[in-house]
Amino acid sequence: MSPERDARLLHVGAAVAVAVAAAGLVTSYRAEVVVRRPAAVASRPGSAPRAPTYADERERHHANRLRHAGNLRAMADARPDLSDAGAVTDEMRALALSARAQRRAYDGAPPTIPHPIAQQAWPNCMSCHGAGMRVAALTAPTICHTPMQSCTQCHVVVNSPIPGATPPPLADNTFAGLASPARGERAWPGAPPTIPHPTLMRARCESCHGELALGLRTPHPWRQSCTQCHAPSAALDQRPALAAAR
Amino acid sequence: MERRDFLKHSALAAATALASRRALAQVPAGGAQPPALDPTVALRTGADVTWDKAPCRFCGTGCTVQVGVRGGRVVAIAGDQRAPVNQGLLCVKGYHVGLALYGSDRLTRPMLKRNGRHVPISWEEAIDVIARRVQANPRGFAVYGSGQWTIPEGYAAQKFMKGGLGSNHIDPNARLCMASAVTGYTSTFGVDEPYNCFDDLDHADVVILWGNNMAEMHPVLFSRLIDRRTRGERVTLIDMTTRRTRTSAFADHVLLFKPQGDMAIANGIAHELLRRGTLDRAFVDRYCRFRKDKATPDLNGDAMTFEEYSQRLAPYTPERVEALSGVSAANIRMLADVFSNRSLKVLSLWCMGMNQHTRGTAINRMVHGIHMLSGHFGKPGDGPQSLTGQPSACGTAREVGTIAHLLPGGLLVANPQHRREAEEIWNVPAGRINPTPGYHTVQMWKKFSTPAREGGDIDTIWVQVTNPGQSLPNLDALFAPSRRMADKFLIVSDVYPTATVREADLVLPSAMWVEKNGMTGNSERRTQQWFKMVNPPGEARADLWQTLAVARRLYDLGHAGMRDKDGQFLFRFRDAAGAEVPAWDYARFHDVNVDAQLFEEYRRFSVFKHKNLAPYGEYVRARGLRWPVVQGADGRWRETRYRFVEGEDPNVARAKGLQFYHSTTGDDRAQIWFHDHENPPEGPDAQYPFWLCTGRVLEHWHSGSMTMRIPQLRRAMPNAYVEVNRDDAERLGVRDGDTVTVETRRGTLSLPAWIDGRASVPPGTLFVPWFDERLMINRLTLDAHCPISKQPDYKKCAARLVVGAPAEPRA
Repeated sequence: MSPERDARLLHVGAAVAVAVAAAGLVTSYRAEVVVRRPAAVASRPGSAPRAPTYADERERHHANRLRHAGNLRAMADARPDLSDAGAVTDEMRALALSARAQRRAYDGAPPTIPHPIAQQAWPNCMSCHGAGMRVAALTAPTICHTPMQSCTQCHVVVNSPIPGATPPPLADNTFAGLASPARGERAWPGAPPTIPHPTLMRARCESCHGELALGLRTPHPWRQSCTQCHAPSAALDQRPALAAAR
Repeated sequence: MERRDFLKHSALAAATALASRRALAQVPAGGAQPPALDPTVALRTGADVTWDKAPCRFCGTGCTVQVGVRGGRVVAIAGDQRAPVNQGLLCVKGYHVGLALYGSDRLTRPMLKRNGRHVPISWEEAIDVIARRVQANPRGFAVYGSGQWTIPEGYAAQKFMKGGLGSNHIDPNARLCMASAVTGYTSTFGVDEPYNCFDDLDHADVVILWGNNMAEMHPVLFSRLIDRRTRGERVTLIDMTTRRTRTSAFADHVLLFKPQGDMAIANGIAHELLRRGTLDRAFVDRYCRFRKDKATPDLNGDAMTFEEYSQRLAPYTPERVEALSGVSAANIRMLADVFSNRSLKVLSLWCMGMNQHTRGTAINRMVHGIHMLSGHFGKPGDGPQSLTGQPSACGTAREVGTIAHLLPGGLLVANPQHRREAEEIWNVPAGRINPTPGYHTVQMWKKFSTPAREGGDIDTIWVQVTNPGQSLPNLDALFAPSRRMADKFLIVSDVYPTATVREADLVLPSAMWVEKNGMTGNSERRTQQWFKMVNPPGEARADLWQTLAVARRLYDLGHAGMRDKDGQFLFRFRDAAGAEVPAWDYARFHDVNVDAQLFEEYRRFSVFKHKNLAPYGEYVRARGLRWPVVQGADGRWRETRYRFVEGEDPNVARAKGLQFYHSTTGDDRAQIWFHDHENPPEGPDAQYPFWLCTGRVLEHWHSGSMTMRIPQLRRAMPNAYVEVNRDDAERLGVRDGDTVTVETRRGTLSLPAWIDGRASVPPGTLFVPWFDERLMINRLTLDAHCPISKQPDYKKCAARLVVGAPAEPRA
């Protein structure tokens, strides 16, 4: 084969590749333009009149006690635009996973609460964790499971709520919990990844993968029906156990 | 290729990569720079973790958990979606139960106290030490067991003591926990344990909590109930309580009552039902009789007429009850309205508030009584139900009968026929079983802490799966003195160096939870089974093996009681081929399923009181089954949701409606008891002006020996505290977090004050949780107990509050 023929083939190949790349570029941009429209559909609170939350009530009565000047509704509304989802870097992902691990004994454990809570009032967790919001530098994620009434049944605070006493040192414990899973499997590059973790108590994907999430955010937060494309795992959800004898 | 071409191709490749990355929103796997593998994220697939079921190690709810094991260690926990009790959900303790195995101070070697220090010894030596002490004085030997014993563990200890040594000095910590519920059920229905089940939580319209902080103590049952509201159902919660708790936050009515006011309230409701004529006359005429205490209260009492019952209730007008209980007359009438309304399904729930009560048996009977008087009984969601605090208080303590006066299956040591039945099943000579009940818990420890020459005839106690050095009341009187007596020998089998272990003469390291096979029974009569999943650490061994090994050593030493009437060892196990397996030899202990074989023997006892249990294999398949479990004509084993109820309980005859087939009056009827309101033996006075109440918190289970070693739970609740009312605090000059000293006639304790913290106490009341071994409130509590159940009252005694720490050094 002559070098000229070789170069020509290479050029033809390159031209094809450029065409594919250009098509890809156009497709990708066009896809974003197209899907920006559903973002305008009210997919979060605000489309219906809102009853005042307990936090709203408390704010009304104790406005001066609040560090944040705005009210919760304003904070809830100040959320990133769905289409603003930038690229998630590996660093962001690693950071998010290690933050997750810090608040859980193992992947799947109920996370601990990193802020003080009212010890005996009716839990008003849903004021912030209902739709999710950014509170200063913190993110209050959307609840990841069906809301239940007694939040403190499963979630406890990280810091001692008891005044005065210096908490004694923690007892050593050698438990090594299951880590967060690696990325889901893809049938081929570009296939939607499978869900690499159990979905029990984690059915609301937007809690960790929605527009408020940083390191684990989906590149398409405007999509609502996640399991349309992302398959859960019968093994992780322990469904084989249901069919088997035990 | 030329340099120009290379650059061109590189640019093209980059453009292509960028384009496809945008199009496919991912980094291609074969890209020039593969993403760095995150070192904190271990690759995990579904296949490398094996999951199996086990009931949670903690409370009497009996949630089924799925235990994830990898590489021989528990690595994760999930709620079991197939479990009828918890339906996939757990509480914070349950989600962290796997961590209870891995505290770094697990006991791993047997240790004997020599010159005040624990010195490691061999298992052989440890077993020999116990056997020789028993041999030397079998009548001075007692076993103090637990509602956390598995069923086979409790059964082996029970057979060893009552069938082997002929001694009834075996009692469980459950005496401190549900003894009053037992006597309440037994004297009302003739047989122990709730007739109903947790299904009631799904059906009740009105739920009345009798001194039960359910949101913290039975969180999974509480959410099963309260989450019905999220689904649009109406659930009215009436929280009768002596302090405002997390449960109160969910309640429609919070009725704060004076300690022991529950007796007056129950009488007030009964009074109103009679006065209004809203009692269910048909129900009472068909199914009930009336009963009252003898001059000295006992289990049986005396019969009384309905007329006498009415007369005795006459003084309990709502106004008088208001004066006695502190609950307004209007609210007493509101409660009477609830019971008068037959279209509502009314569920009463209680736990320690009614059981740890110096008239615990009485108040249990009275709550059963108002449900029967009003006909709120026998339908799903409509009835009285006692909750329990330990995973097998029902399964082991109550059903296996590891209680000083019981034999397995609800039989009594005092009943000659019952002794004969047991002797036949155990194949021991007639007369082996001692007809006199043994020492109950308080008595046992009193005898142990009394010198032999002064009548303290218990010189050795073997403690398994419990922590009496922290959980007994009035510790300085019941526990501490024995530790200063040279001839008193304390043996403790445990997993961590608890307050009891530290004081023990001989320490045996035990296997716990999924480190061994096990079975437990929860508070709705549900028997559950699990398999060993991981190995215990070091030389730790199952309590069941420890009991078998001591029995065998005694057999080898020639103790006659360790032989059955054919001269064979009491505990024999066979493999599938029928060959005998010496399971007392630890090398062979896991060669057979010892649990299964002991359970099959124990199961023979279950038929006498219609507490029928299914074969072991049925429990392997199920997420627990509620007894009586009876085999149908089709060969299938069916559990029972509601006992005594026609159509539910196979023991009830056709057209009977309800049949109390163990009735104490022998006529298929239950007893409605009358009791006057009584004041507790100790209450506030000029010297000690406060009520002191003790209890648990959500994060910790019992003495905290397990939960205090779980970082997530300990961080959330690291130490004990005293709840002080805001007005009292202001008056005494106590600020939130100040160190204060609580004093009673029995002891003192300094700890931080918490005002309107986890709960709010009314004026004149203090509350201290008992989980903290460094701040042991049971040095202050009272050992006064119910005359019938012998269960002490940890909920009320007189105390005073001193600002600051005491001058003298704290003990």
